[in-house]
Amino acid sequence: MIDPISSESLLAQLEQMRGRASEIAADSSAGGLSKGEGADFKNVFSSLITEVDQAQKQADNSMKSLASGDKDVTIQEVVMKMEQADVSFSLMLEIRNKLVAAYKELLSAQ
Amino acid sequence: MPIEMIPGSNIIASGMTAERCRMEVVANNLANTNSSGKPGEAYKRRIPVFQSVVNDSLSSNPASELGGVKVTSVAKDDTPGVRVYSPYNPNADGDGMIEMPNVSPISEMMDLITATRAYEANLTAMKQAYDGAMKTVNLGKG
Repeated sequence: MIDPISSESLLAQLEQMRGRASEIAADSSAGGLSKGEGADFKNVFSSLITEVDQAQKQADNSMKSLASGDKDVTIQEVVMKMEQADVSFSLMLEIRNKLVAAYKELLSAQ
Repeated sequence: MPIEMIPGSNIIASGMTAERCRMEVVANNLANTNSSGKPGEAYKRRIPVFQSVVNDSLSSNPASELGGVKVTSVAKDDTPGVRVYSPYNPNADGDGMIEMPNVSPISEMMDLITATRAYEANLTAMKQAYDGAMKTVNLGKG
């Protein structure tokens, strides 16, 4: 038999969950992630963007030097760098898509 | 250094570079099949010498010390070549003999096939690693 849903029981459950959430938060701040600059998601994401940008620039530069006849750059290194850049860009895009999807989910919850 | 998204990409690239070097050496040997000379001075077959690379690694990943392969040198095969009687050749010695290179086109072709297949094996490894990384990134798309 499923319990009938009343607003009181829902509120009680929410209170319980809030209590547990704050316990977990206290645990995590004591153990691993600290609420400093390093844990700031904005910083993490912008450093990811910087790295992806760097990978793209590296691939671009090595492609340029291959095209201009630099003997030290081999075709397999260039392809490898291009693929690295491709995969890391896809990763960034996927994280961004997840973020936007989560944001839209929250908007539609209203 | 950007994030390494494709596992082993540098190792695979080093393998491909090494096999390319082997192909170049084979091409050079084949091109010099007829580079005869004075006895003892004819072209000698070249052999690429490969060596595995070990990195100093501080990472917790034990595989990070594996650095792939490098070509340390291109050595000479000093087996004497066949002596041929060719008195009008400017390189002929007092007896009218010249030395042919010790290159056997048949074994060079075998080497070329081996190098090509090894290069292709590296290509396959690269494709698999790339596909794996791409599939992992696109895991959420279902």
